[in-house]
Amino acid sequence: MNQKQVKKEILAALLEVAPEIDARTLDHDKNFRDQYPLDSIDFLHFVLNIEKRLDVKILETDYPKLSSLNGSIKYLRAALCL
Amino acid sequence: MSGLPNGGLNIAHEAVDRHAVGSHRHQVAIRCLDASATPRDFTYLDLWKLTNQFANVLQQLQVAGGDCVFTLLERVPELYITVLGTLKKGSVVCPLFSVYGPEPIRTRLISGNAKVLVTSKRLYENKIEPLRQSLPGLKYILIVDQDQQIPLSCDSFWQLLNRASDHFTISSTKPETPALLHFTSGTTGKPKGVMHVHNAVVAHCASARYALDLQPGDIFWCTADPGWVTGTSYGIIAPLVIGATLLVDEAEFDPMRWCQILQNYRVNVWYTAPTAIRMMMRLGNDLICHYDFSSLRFAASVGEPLNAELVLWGKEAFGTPFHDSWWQTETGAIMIANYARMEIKPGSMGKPLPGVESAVIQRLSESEIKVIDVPEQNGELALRRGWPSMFVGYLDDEERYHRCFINGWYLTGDIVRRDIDGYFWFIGRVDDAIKSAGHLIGPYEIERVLLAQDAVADAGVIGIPDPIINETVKAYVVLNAGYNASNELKCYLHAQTRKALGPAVAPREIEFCDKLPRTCSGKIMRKLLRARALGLPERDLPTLDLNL
Repeated sequence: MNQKQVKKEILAALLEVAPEIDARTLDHDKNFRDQYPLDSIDFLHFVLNIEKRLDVKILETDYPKLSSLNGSIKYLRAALCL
Repeated sequence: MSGLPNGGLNIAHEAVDRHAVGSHRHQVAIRCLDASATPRDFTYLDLWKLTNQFANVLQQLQVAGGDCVFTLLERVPELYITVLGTLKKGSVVCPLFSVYGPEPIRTRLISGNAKVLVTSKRLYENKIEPLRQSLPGLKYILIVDQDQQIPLSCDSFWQLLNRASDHFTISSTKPETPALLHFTSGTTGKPKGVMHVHNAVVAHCASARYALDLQPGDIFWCTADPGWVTGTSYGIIAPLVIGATLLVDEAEFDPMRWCQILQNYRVNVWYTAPTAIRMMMRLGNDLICHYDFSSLRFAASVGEPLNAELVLWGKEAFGTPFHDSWWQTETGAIMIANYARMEIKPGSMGKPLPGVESAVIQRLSESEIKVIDVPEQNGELALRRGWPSMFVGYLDDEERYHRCFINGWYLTGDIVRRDIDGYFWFIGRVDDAIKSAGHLIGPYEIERVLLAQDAVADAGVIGIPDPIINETVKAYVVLNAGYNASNELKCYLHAQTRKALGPAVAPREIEFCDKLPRTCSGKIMRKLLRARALGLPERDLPTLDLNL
């Protein structure tokens, strides 16, 4: 899996929770929750979706690292040894 | 509590002014943490001046006694100044949950006949500006942001405040003067505007002592947003009346941040919700044990039933078990709790607070009830009317208000069981209201948004059990002819409901179906929908209703 595919899966995990998000205008560096009204349950479901899609275990303590698109890509690249 | 110097009763006098001239004047009344967890402190004296200034602003804007001031704000200092300043002025205050989408906001502003709205620039532009034309009664919008361009036809909260005097003589409100408005959901119809009077402060104060063990000087953290009744009764009023320091966190829930706050700000009493506790439990004890919670003396929970496992985990993780409590928007204050001075029965709601008379009843007709005297029987929880924080009405719906009372009892709509020791156990709701993540959600409000979509012919919304948030909102949708039950359409409807209602209310699941089960009179049979969702046998349901 390459970085492009990881990004695609992250966006899919996010849109599954909040389909109102426009992926084209999403600021890659900004916290998702500062751009769209996501609550803590949405964010939890987003992380669980990533775990399922990428077959990876994410520690609760690492959740804040997934709070933006680029943060998620960076974290998952390391976790998946890409 | 002292009452007003010239007679009468005012919540803000009890919460602020009394302390501002007494020994608590230089004590921190509110410690607000911003998004970066930087604290901003307001002493009782500071709060006295700021709330006086806001009351003077309202005076200047010619806001009258019965007029309603709304807030649509995150948990920022201006929210607390507005609520208390409005109460000083003798007007009615209604804090709205800032995570709501435009639709619930519009309904509530119209229903509450809002005259003033205090909000932020971001929330105004995202949620209010598009609605402005439909809100002719809304005369003033005050924007709290500083150093920002104020939108057209809005005013600057701080400019007005800074020009106002910091001396104000509180209106001579009486115990029965309307003070607070909160909206709650029922199964049918619009959200109910629940009205409370200044006398409610008597119950806020007494119940915080009994059920939360709250004492003067305590650092108290109520994690609920003031947009919900808990966040006002206990997230603003009760701790200030008692002379505690109220901790306020502006940020949304984050389990690790919460552990840090409990530790770093040396919280003594913590009032939170089962969903948050469940999400913190996921952190695991290995991580939690690194924090120092030695300041925490008492922890309590409200919003939905707290399972026994969580009650006991509190002791393990934080050094104190969670004390579950029960009350409603209508009751205005905690009515039943595992309170400080009694033994906890994990999983139970607890016992009625002193002064609260409760019963388990059976409804026989619209005007007749039977009190069930024997323990261990399921029935509806009823409270003897007349406690100080009992709601005084539903906005513009007197008939609905009167229907809540039979023979001097307020019927809560909650099914409970009372055990042999007098502890109450929550069983479920009489109606179809959904308890999700600590919020009571009415299916009708969601169904209405779905039905407004061209593709939707019919919609039925239910709550299905969820291990974290108690119930998750699920919508069943019947499509109009010509629409395909595609995944794209499902995503579209999901997005539309989230945009209109906000994430806390919108369904998290949508399923297409061919037909909804309805009674002869056309009422959606949500119990049957729930049975289907859970794969339970439908034959156990009353056959009379099964007219599909």
